[in-house]
Amino acid sequence: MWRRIFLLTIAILCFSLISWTQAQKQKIVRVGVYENPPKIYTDSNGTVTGFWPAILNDIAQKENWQIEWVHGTWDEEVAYLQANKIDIMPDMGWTEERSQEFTFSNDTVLSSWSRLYVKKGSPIQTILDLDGKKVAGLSGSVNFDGPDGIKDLATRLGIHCTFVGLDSYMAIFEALQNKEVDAGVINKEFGDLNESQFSVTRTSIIIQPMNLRFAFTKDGTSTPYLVQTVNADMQELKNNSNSAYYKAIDQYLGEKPPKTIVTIIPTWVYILFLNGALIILFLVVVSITARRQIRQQTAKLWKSEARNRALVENDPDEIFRLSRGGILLDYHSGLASSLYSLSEDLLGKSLLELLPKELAEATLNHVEKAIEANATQVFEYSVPSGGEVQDYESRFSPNGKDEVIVIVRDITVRKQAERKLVESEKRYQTLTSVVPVGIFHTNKDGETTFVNPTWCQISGMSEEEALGEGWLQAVHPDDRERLLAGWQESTEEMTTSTADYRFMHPDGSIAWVIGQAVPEVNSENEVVGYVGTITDITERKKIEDLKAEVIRAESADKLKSAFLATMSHELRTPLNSIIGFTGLLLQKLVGPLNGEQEKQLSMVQGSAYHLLELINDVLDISKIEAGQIVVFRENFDVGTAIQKSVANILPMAEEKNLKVITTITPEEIQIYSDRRRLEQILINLLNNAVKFTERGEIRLGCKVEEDWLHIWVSDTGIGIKPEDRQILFRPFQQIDIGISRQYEGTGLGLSICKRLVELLGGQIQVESEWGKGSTFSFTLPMRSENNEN
Amino acid sequence: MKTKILVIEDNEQNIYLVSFILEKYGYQVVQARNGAEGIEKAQQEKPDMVLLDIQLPVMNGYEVAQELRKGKELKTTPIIAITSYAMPGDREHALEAGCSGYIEKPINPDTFINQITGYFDSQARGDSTL
Repeated sequence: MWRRIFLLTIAILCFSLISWTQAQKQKIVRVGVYENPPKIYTDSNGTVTGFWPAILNDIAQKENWQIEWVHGTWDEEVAYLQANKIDIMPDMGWTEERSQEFTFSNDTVLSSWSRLYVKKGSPIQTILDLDGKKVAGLSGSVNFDGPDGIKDLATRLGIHCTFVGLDSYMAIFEALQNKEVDAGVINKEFGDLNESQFSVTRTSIIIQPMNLRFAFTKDGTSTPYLVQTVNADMQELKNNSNSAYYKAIDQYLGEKPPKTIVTIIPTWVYILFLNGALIILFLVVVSITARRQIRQQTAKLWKSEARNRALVENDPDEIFRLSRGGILLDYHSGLASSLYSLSEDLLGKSLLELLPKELAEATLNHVEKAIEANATQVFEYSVPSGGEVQDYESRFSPNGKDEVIVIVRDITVRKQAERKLVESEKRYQTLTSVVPVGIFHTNKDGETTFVNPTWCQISGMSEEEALGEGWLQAVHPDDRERLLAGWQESTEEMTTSTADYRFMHPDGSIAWVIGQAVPEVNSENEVVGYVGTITDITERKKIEDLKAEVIRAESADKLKSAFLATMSHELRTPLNSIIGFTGLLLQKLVGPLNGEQEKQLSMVQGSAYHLLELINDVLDISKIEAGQIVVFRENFDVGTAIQKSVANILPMAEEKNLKVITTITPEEIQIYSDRRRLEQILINLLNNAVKFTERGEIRLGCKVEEDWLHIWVSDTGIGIKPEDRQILFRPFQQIDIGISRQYEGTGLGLSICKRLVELLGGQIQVESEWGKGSTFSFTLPMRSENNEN
Repeated sequence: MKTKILVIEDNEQNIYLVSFILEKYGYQVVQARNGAEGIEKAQQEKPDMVLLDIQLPVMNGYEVAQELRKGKELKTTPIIAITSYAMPGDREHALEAGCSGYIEKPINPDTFINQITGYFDSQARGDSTL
């Protein structure tokens, strides 16, 4: 391709060179033309021709001028030349006068004179014979009107003629022939050429010898160049006897008939010739270049051939060429043993001869396929060998329609790796499906590409929903931003991201998870995706929450506890004094007391005790409600506790004349429980019994049944109405039994009893008949769960 | 020789009351109104019994009890805690601190003397708790 371009460029250059040169140097020269055959005239075709034009044309061609002929009369032409409307005026006679006005070429181009012609048979022989005659001449012509012209001569010689000015020499001849004039002044050239056409006689009278030259505008811009050029060219023309000058003389001024040889070669011929030469040059160059190209190509091919040979011979595969019919055309192998295991000696033999039937047929099959499809076919073969499997890859490449190039490569290693990979993949799949941790994969943009079943279980979202950006929807809305922000950060730093966040299941339940994502990085250290796990920590979170709650509760409890302790202490302290001092006084340790003093002091002490009781009850119920009661369990004897409690209320009972009967069976009952609380319960019940009984007795009994202690307190008191039994154990409920509240009490006693009994693990109940009496009974476990009695 | 009882109590009325009863019943009473004073007096007077209010300012009763027990003088002397049982575990705490027994506040003036003499008996018997 480069060659073609090169040659085309050459051609273009040549052509443009020619036209350029032509265009560049072509100069327009204006030349005046007037009618003066044969020297200068316009022929019937309109072509300017004649002696002068011939010379000028020759010069023009040589100088690459383009002549512009400017037509006019002699006078007009002279005027044009003066005004530089024309550059050159040919056929101008040199005179001293004129040389002032115009610039002339150096040499005389043509010598000329004028003759007198007379009509045929005219007696005129000398100039003196013109006296009294009619003489015609060319108006304005120098031979007529100019200095040394006929008129001038006649004047100088004293000849009197009648002069008739005519327009052309032809007119003069005609006038002579018509005998209108006697004589006519004709220039030699015209005369030579045309005298034979008219019946006129040439006289020997000649006048005005002239040196005819080219005239140029005196101060014209082109004049110096033109003058120099014309002078030089004229010199040359004159020196060469075969030049256009002499030819022009012969043709226009001589008597010989003008030759018909074309002496001017048109420009286009030159151009054609030049172009032809260039084309030939061009073709020569092409042929040389082409030859060199061919040599180079051939050398390249040889090199390529050598290289390919080297390649094939160094290739460790089996390479061979097979014909379509299965003939081995070429063979090379870098392996000791391979799929085909042929050799170079077997070239020319058919595969069917050389190989096991199956392999040969299969191979030929592939050959056909490759040629038909006109494309490389690739096949894999597995050959079992000694317990292992050898894998080969064969490529059948068609080489035209008749043969195939086969390349066989041992891909055992690759195959093994592939198999291992598949196995590994499978193993991974199995693992991810059973592992109790959620596993997910994402691409580098964080879009989920895989989640395992456990993930779906934990998040409450199916795999399809989770793919792409879907997984985010499973994340609790409050956690999404935080999670993504954290992930973003880790991505930038290519570190593992860890976060704990929540999944919200479709049913609204929450699962707390710890998620970890690790970036997967390729060999160029670019992140290609993420692999991560989520672990369900909902249980753990619950425990943490509980712990927090416990701590909160405990601190609240501590406050309550402190409060109650303070109240307990503060309230009891003043009572210490009241009870104590009244006691001392009543014991008469401070001095004797009269009846009234004793009575009144008793009342004070009584009130103080009552107040203490109230305080104790209030604090008790407060503690119970606040869960501040701590049960102190110990082994103790029930009987002793009962007796102690009875002894406590005995004075009160005796005062009301009530009998108190205690029945304890067996006599020794060991219980593992809170002694103090048991006493408290008993005292409470006994107190109530005494309070609500006016006459009769109070019975207290107990028994042991299996692992339970039963105790009951019966009285013969007022009893309890059925409808009142509901509210009996409620705090601050005192059954309204009349107009006034006869019975003192806090209203807390029974509710405290109930709570205490329950605290100890037992139950309390009441049986009663309104007006007859009541029996309060309760049970207690003999021992607690983790106790050895 | 009268039996000497050290009473460590910060409440004026209480200490007056206890002292009155004890003296009425023939005991010699040494008073201390705070723990530090109590320990000092204990070392000085070497009482036969210490009545110790648990709710003391600055140094609480338990600490005082522990301190008293450290001293060689009171290794075996009965130390009775007088406590209003405000907090759960007060009883146990008292015993652990080294008290030989406890009496609940407000004290019962009628039974008070009996209660404390009981400790003398138990001491004689070799019991340290009631």
